[in-house]
Amino acid sequence: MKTLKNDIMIKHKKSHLFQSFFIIAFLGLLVSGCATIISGTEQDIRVKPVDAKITIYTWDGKVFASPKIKEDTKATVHRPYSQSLLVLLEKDGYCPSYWLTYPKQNNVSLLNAIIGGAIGAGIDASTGAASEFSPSEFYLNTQETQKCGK
Amino acid sequence: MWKMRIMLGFFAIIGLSGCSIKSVLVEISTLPASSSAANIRQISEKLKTDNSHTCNLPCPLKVENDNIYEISIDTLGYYPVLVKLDLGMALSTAVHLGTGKTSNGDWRVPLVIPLVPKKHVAPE
Repeated sequence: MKTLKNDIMIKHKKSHLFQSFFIIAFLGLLVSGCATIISGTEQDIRVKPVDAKITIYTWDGKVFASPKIKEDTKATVHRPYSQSLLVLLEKDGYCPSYWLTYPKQNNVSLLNAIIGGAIGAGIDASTGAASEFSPSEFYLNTQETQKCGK
Repeated sequence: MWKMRIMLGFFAIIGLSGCSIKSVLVEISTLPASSSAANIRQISEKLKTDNSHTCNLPCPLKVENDNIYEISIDTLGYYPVLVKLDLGMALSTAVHLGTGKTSNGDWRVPLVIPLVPKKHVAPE
C-alpha cells in the first residue's frame, strides 16, 4: 500500500516537472529574440554636422557602415554585434575625428536573457540586437584644418 | 545537494576564468600602411600614473585592465589620428573577430586605423 502511494506521488511529481518544463520552454520561445523584435537590429546615432561624412570600420579595417546623415542629424546603422568599432567623421576643411565605440549591452536584450534564457539571448546575439553603440553621438572637431597636424 | 555544489563550482570556475583575462595584445597598423611613429599614452586612474612611449608602426600594444590608452599618429601627408581604447573594447572585439591568442594565452586583435589624406591646396 505504501509503495503504491509512493509510486503515485513520484508519478505526480514527474508530471508536474514535465508541465513546468513545457511552460518554461513555451515562455522562453515566446520571448525569444525579444530585443530583435522590440528594439530591432538597427539603431539611430546622432552625427553633426549633417554635411560631414561618417564611415564606421571594424578593427580589421573593413567598412562596417557608411550611413547617410539625415537633416535631423540622425543616421541609421546596424547594431554593432557586441564588438568595438572605429568611427571616422570627416568634412572638407576640418580635421577628421576618430572614436572607438564600446559595445554597450542593450537593456531589452538583458531582460530577455533573464526571462527567455539561452534561446532568446542567442537570437539577439546573432542578429546584433544584443548590443548598441556607446557613444551614440558623434560631433566633428571644429578645429580648422590649418591648425591640425604638421 | 551535491549536484548543486558541482554546478556552483562549475560556474565559479567559469567566472574566475573570465576574471583572469587581464590583457589583450592589440596590433596597431594604419591603412594605407605607414611606418611612422605612434605615440601611446597610458593612463591608469587606479595607480594614478600617466606614461607615454612611442613605437614604429605596425606595433603591438598590451592593453591591460584599469588603463586607458590614447594612441596618436602623425603621418606626413595625412591628418593626425587620436583614438582612445581600453581593455573592454579590445576584449569584446578579439572575442567577436576570433583572432586567436598569443603564446602567453592573451587574446590578440588587429586595430587598423584608416588615415585621411590631406588635400593639396593650390596656391592662389
